[in-house]
Amino acid sequence: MRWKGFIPFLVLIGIVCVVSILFMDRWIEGGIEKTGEAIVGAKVEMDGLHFNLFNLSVEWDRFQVTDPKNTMQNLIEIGRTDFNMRSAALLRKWFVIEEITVADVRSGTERAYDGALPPKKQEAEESDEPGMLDHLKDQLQREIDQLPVMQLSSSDLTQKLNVDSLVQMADLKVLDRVDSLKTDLNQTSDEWNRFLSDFHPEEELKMIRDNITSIDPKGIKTVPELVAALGKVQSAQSTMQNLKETVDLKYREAHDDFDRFSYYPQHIDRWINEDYQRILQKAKLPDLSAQNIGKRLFGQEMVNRIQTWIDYYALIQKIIPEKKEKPEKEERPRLEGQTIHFADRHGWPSFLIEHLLLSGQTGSSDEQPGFVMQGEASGITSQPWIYGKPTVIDLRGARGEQRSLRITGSFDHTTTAIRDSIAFALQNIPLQNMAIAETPYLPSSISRGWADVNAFTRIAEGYFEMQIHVNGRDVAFGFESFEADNVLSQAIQKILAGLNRIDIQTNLYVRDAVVDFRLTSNLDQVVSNELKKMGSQALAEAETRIRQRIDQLSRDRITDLEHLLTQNQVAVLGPIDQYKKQSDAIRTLIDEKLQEVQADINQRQQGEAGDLQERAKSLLEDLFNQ
Amino acid sequence: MFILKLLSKLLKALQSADSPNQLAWGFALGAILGLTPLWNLHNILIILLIFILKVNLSSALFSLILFSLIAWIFDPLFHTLGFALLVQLPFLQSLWNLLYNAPVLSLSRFNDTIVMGSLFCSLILLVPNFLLFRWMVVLYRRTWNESVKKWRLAKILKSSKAVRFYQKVKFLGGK
Repeated sequence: MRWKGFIPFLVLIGIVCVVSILFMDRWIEGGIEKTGEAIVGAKVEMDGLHFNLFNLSVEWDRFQVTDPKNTMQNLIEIGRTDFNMRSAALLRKWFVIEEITVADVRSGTERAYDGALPPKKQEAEESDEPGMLDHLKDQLQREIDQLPVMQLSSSDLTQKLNVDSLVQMADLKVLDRVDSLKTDLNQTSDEWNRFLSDFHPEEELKMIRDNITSIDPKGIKTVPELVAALGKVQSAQSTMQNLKETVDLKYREAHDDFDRFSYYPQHIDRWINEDYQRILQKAKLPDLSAQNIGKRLFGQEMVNRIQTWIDYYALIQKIIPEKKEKPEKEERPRLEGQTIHFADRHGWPSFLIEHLLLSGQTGSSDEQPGFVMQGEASGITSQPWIYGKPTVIDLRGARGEQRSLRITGSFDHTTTAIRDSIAFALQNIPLQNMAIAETPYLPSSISRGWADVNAFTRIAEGYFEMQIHVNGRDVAFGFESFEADNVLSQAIQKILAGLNRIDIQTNLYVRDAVVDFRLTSNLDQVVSNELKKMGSQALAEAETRIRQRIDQLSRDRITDLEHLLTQNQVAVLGPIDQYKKQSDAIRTLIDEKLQEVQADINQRQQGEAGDLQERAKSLLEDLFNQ
Repeated sequence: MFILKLLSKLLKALQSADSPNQLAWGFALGAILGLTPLWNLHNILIILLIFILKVNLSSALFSLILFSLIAWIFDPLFHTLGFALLVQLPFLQSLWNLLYNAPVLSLSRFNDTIVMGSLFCSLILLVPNFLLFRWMVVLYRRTWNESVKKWRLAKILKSSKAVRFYQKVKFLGGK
């Protein structure tokens, strides 16, 4: 043992301790900033942090979180704050804060310099796989981008609708199909004509009929001759049977073949209808019953708000992560390990704020205070499944005497099946600043109005539901870029100018990655009723013209087909029907002749038997008389 | 400069009166410091052992530097191994739970995959490292020592001429 070795060891440990104490604040600051940046994706800065090792208290002068969408602005800025940590937990490297009061929280404050992360760092922070929320954001934007251009020109419907070019573009399928039917008919007829050219049973039928007709039982004197005639009839019957079977078979086949074509009118009607629908689609005739006016006017604004909300929710999800059945192996930078957490017997997660009291304002300065907010949150933790209780927030805000805001939420990540819900209620917000999309035939601004907004969101595993209801009153629209160039658009202007309340209902559902976004408003109903009245006649005319053009184009070919079918039916079925008729008649004739001959034979046999009896009787009488 | 100084010390140690065991234990314990992340609780114990046991400090320091480089190469292996030990072996879960809930011990970062993987490897390799290094020291002293002593580089290093030369050059540079 080298006992003197204790001295340099203690010196070394002492140096490490001193350095640690000297730089601890900077290390904690760095750690918090790094973690925050990983969550937010923009700079997170903490100024003047001081950790007191003796009473385990932390205090900072300023905490800024950059808005990742506008890096010259802060998402949140918090002033001087101090709190204590639970010592027993800290000994296990868990940061448990029983209660923290955060005052003077502001949002939207200007930054002195850009808070964007360096590109490399930003790429590393944003390298996550896109999830349900990213898919939802993209899908929502597509819903708005893919709204068809609004058509309101009544003259367009009647004058500019070039039916011929539409028909050409649509490439009528009915014509090809009728041609194909005709080819099929010709081929079938050809096959039957070839058969009929080789099949001539007339001679044979005539011979059999002549043979049968020539047999007259009355003219035959003896029974043996009659039996011979019977044999002749039976032979003819056998020959006829074979011939009839062939004729019957061909009769059935020919009729089956041609019956197939008899259903063509139904097919043609269906084909014409399909072509008609396709042309209507290409014509893009406006469906005046669903102009989606609410979606056009407020859709983009709603989508923007929902997307912003989704970004905030994504942040919350990062702060309060989901439970995983088992930790998954993560990709991480070299020499940086992955921390695995285990069950804790104290119920302490690695980070927990049991109770947070919050106050501040949504505005960036005292001149523009926005909503003055206060509220509380509980159970903010990095491991809710260990803490075992959901995170609950309740914030209230007011601006002046009339406007109010309330946000309540519950984020239950205590099990692998997350259950989050957030409710949002805003009252008496002005609508003047509400952005609405510039559309030629719709108003471009709201010049006056107030609204109450109620929103509710529920999120579970693979499920997302959001309902937003905006109830606006005393509304006046501005028509600065309105194109009142025809009767319909003038009518819209009149209708909207007369409306003083708006009612917008937004429903968004996502289940198994299928997004269903609906935005309805009272504007749609009112406007579409009016448009329907005015536009229905023009639309009906356009639709009739398309229908007529298809009928006209297909009529000649259909007539041609009908004519060909009749012609071929006569040519093929005529002889076969005749053969069938003849063979049936001869068959009947043979059957009758057979019965006639058989009856004659029976009659004569009975007569001969009577004669023999009489003769035997007289011979016996003669014998006894002698 | 530091490397030259270290090589010089290592050469001196190899030719000193220190036993092969002292040198080999220095290497083996230094390997633990080098393979595992340095700022960890367990390394305080290793440093204490290096200081109070009669192991060669130069060989420990040399080993620390050498194995730090090796650790960088084997980092993905340590991560995989650490993850397997901490997550994929159910029979160890109760042990980890116990450590996780123990005061101070939970500060050891044992639940970090790199710390766990590298510590496990270095502990497994402790005895083999010791035996290997002892064999190498013995082999060196028996076979190479005399030849190396005659090398010009070895003489320079041993006499610390290079070190002195560097100091002169440094002063001449005015820094």
